[in-house]
Amino acid sequence: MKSDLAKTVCAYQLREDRRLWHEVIMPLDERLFYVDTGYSWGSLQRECAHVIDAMHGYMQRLHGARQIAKAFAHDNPDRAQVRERWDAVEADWKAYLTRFDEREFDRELETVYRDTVIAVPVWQLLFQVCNHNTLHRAEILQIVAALREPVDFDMNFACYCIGFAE
Amino acid sequence: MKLKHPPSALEDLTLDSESGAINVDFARRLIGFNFWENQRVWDLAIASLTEEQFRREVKFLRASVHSETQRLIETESVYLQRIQGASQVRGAWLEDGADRAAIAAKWASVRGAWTEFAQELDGDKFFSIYEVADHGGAREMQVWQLVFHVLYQGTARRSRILRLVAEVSKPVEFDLSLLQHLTGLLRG
Repeated sequence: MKSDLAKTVCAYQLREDRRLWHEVIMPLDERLFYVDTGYSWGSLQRECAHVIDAMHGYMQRLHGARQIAKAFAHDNPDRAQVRERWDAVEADWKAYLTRFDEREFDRELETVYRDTVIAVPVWQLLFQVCNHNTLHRAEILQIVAALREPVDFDMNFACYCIGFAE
Repeated sequence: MKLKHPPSALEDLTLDSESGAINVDFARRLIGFNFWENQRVWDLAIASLTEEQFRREVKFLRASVHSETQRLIETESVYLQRIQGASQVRGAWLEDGADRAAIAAKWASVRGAWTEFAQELDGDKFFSIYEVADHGGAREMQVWQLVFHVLYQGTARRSRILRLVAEVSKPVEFDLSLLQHLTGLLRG
């Protein structure tokens, strides 16, 4: 049950991120992708790269890595490169979730967070990623609103669950 | 709307050793996080705003700190009433003239109700079925889905509140993070 819950929550995250790419980020004039708006990570480029980098980092932690590799080989990927990296990271998460079970939900692992070695159950890392992505989807919508105009993009988990149950 | 018990529990490796129910301590901690983060946002970002800043509409976000905070409180209040089976759901939106002390008091009462709910939460309740009527007819959801809906709304709205604060005043000097709450490793 808890593993089904976690898989549903993570699947929602992946779907919402993908929907954001399709409906909001890709239709934008590409020049806007690189504009620094002066808040948080500044540009959509840096904001999206940060989210993907975090997802990639947490996936490595879930597999026991202590040295975390960056998601991007250089600091200035263009929109197509960021989008392509998102596809690869999303595929890693989907593969992980297909094997996810009750034992994995509570499995305890050692990892490094804010320069400190900590022992945490897997669920804490999963929900950290979900919370982090939700925060940044909201920030991405704020950036787009600042660059152009507010976007009609409802983030509604209850509606997702009703649709999911159909 | 009524609550039904789920089918007999699937094999679960983390049964509460005393009651035999599924251990939902993780859910209690996530609910606790939501209200801890709300309080931080109020104390560290909202409390020091002037009244004019608090109520100023930021055009490109079509909101003010005041309206966004009220929406968050409203969501938390209404969904808890639904989860608890209230026949008449009462809105939590305070009239425009309500001052910040009244809004803070309202939020504290919503937090108190959620804290009580979380303390009493068990696996049977968390995974029980909630029947909801919508335009497509009766639908079934599980209580946990409604709880997570509130948690997501909280995260997204706190992000918007911090952006609104940055627009009417200055960016805040703290970050929002679940893991920092769970581990106690706060930045700075």
